[in-house]
Amino acid sequence: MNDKQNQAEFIRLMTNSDQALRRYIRTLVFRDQDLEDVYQTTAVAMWEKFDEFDETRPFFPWACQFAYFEVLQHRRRISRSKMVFDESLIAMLEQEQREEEAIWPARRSALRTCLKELPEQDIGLLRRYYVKREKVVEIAEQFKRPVKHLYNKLDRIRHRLGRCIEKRTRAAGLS
Amino acid sequence: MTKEPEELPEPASDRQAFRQYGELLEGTMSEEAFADFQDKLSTDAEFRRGYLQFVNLDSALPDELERLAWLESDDPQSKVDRGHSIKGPARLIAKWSNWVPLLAAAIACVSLSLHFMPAPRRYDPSISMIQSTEILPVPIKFASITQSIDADWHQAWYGQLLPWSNATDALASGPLWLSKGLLEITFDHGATFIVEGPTKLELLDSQHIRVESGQLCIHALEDSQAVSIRTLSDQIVDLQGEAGIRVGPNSGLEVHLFSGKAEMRSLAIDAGKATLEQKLEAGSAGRVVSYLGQRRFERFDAQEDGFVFQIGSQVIVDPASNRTETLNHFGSEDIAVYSTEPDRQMKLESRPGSLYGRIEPQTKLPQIGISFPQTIDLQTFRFLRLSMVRTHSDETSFAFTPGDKNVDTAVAKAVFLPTPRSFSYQELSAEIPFVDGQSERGFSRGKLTVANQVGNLPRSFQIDYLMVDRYPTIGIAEFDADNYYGKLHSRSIKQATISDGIFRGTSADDDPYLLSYQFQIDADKYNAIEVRMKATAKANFAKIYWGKKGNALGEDKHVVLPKFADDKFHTYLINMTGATDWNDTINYLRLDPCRAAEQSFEIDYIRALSIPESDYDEIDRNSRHPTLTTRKVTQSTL
Repeated sequence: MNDKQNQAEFIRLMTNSDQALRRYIRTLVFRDQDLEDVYQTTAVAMWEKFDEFDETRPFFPWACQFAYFEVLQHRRRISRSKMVFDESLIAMLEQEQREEEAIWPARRSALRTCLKELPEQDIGLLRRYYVKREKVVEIAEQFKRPVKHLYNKLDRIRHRLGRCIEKRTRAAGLS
Repeated sequence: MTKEPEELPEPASDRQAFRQYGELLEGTMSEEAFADFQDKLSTDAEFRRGYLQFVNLDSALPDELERLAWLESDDPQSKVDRGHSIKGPARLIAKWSNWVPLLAAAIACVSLSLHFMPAPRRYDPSISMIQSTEILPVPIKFASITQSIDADWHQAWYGQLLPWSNATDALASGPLWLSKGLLEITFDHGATFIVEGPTKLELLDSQHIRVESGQLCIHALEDSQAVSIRTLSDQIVDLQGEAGIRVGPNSGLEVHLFSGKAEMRSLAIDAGKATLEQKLEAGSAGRVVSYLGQRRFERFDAQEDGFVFQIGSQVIVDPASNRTETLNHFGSEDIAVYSTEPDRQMKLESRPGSLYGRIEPQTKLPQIGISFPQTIDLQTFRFLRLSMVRTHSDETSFAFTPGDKNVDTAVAKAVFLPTPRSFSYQELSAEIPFVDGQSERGFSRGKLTVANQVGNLPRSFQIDYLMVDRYPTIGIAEFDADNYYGKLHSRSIKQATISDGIFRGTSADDDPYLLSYQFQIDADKYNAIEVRMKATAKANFAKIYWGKKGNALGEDKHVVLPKFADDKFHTYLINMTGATDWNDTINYLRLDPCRAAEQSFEIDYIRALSIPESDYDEIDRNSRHPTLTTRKVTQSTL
C-alpha cells in the first residue's frame, strides 16, 4: 500500500472512532482546550505507529491506548495546575469509560427519544447553548433572567435527560 | 420566555451532582470545590458513573440537537418558533471532517519519517472485524444490502467496523463507505438505492441519507416512504420517484429526477440569507452553484447516462404486451362448448377448473374442437403449452384453424411429443410450426388430437389449460385447476384456496411462502421469471428466491419485488440474466408474497420465460411503470 492509500485507510478508521475517542479523552481531561490538545497529539502518535496496528483487532481500543498515554503526558505538562485529575483517578475513569462506551449507542438512541419529549423552550435553550455556543450570561441577558436561574434551568434539563436515558436503558436491560 | 415546563420530581442530591458535573465542564468550578469533587470521584463509584454519563451526554448534545433540527427541517412548521435558526447540518458534517485538516497537518509533520516506514498491510474486511468477545449493543436496523457487485464497503458501529458477514444482513444508522463496486440497499419500507463506489454516506434513519461524496440512484416508488438526501449545504427532500444523485468532493448536490417529484433546497451557509428552494419535475435536474459570491440554482435536463439504475435482477413492473394468451381454461361447466370427434367414442365431463375425458378402445384420432376467446396471431404467439393428465404415452397434437374455415382445414399443427404416462398434470410444450399464409389470418379455433390411436383399453385424460406464448415458457404455477397445488409446497399460509385461476391466501406469520420444487429449468435458456400477484398495502414487498439441488435457497439468491398500495394485480417481469447463480439447472423457486402476518394476497401465475435480451428494452419502454427500468444489469456477487 502506498502512502496515499495508507493515509486514506487511517483517515477512514479515525473517522469511525472519532466521536468515541473524543468522549474518551474528554472524560479524562474535561476541558475543551485540553481535549483538542490531547486529541491532536494522539492522532499524530497513532499515525506514526499505524504500521504496527494489528488489523485483525478493533481500532478503537488501540486508539484508546494512545489517548491514555497522551492524557498522562498532557497531565504532566500542566501538572502545576490544580485542576487536573490524579493519575489513579484517570486510570479508573478510563477503564470505566470504555465500559460506558459499550452501551453508548443504546444510550444515544434513548437520548434521541428523550430529546423529542422535551418542551420546545427547553430544546430552544439547549440549542442556544450547545449548537449556537452562546454563553449562559448572554442568554440570561437576552431573557432578562438571573444567570443562576439559567444555570439551574440547564441543570434541570440535563438532569431530566439523564434520568430519561437511564430509565429507557434500564427498561432495555442495558443499564 | 413562555411558561416554565412542569419539572419531574427528582432527588436533590442527584441534581446537585449534575450541577457539579456541569461546573467542571463549564470551567466555573473553584479549586477547592474541585478537590472535593475529585475525592468524591475517587471514592464513590456511583458518582463516578454519573460523571461519565454526564460527559457523554454533554458531548453528544451538540450533534444530537443539530440532528433533531435537521430532521425537523423537512417540516416547514417546525422551523417556526423553535428558538433556533436552521442553518444546515454544519456540525453533523463537521463531525466527520473537522479533524481531517488537523490530521493532515499532523501527517505533514511526520511525512518525512514515513519514507522509511514499512507500509502497513491493507485493510481486509473479511478479517478486520469485531471480536466475538467484544461487548456491543444491538443496533436498530432498518435497511438491508440486497445486491452487490465487486463491492468493498464498510459500515461503522460504535466506532468499529461491523463484521462483514453480519453487515450483510441488515444496516443501522451510521457511516457507510463504498470504496469500489456497487451496492443495492433496500429500506424496510421498500425504497431502494444503488450506491456506486467510491461513495461516502451516512444512513441517518430510514428516510434520511447524508452523502459526503459519490453517486447513487434512488428508487422510492408508490407507497414506499419518501427519502431525503443531504449534503453539507444542499438537500433534496421528500423524494418520491427515481433520481440520480451526484455529490462531488468539492461541489454540492446534483440531482437528476427521472420520475416522480422532489424538492431541492440549498441550505444558506450564512445566517440571515434565504434558503434556495426549487421543486423538481420528472425529467429535470438541478444543482446549486456559487457564482460571483452568490449561490444560485441551475436547472437542466435530467441525464440518465452515467447512473446505474439497478443491479442484479431487472424487474419490470406491468410490462408491456401480453406474452401469453389462454386459449382455454377448460373450466366451463357446459361441455357442449366442445365438439368431439368421433362423437360417440369420447365422453367429456366438467371437473372444477378442468375437463375430464374418456376415450373408448380402438378409437382413431380422438379430437376435441376448441374455440378461443379471441383471435390469435400465430406470428406473434409461436409457442403452445398444454397441461393435462395423460394416462398414455402417445403423441398429442393441436392444430389451428383459420377464422373463416372449417375445422377440418386446420393448419399449423403443433405436436406434443410422447412423455411417460402420468397421473398428475404435466405441462407439455411445443413450438407452433410456421405455415404459408398463416400470417395473414387470425386463428380463433383449433382441434386437439388427444392421441393418434387408442388400443384395446379405454383411455382417460384430464386437461387443465391450453395457452400460447410469445416466448418459450414454463408454467411453474398457473393455478388453473381448482385447488390443485401440483408441485407446490406452502408454509405459513392459511385459508389457502385455488379457484378461478387464482391462488388466494393469508399469511399466518411474517414469513409465508410458496415453494415450487421438483422441476428443472434450463437457466441458460429461460432467463426471466414472470409473476402476477397482488397483496394488501401492509403486506410489504414480496421476494423470489431460487436454487439448485445441493445449493439451497439463500439470501444471496433472491430478488425483491416493488410493492404497491393499490390492492390491484401487478405483473412483475424479472430478467434473471444478471442474477446470482442463475445458471445450469434451477430446481427450486420460492415466492414470498409478503413479509407481514395476517395479510391477504392473490397470485395469478408464476412462469419462467426465455426472452431475447434485445426485447427487454421495448417491453420496458412501454411498461406501466417505466421507472423501474434498468440501464445496467450486472451479476450480483453478494
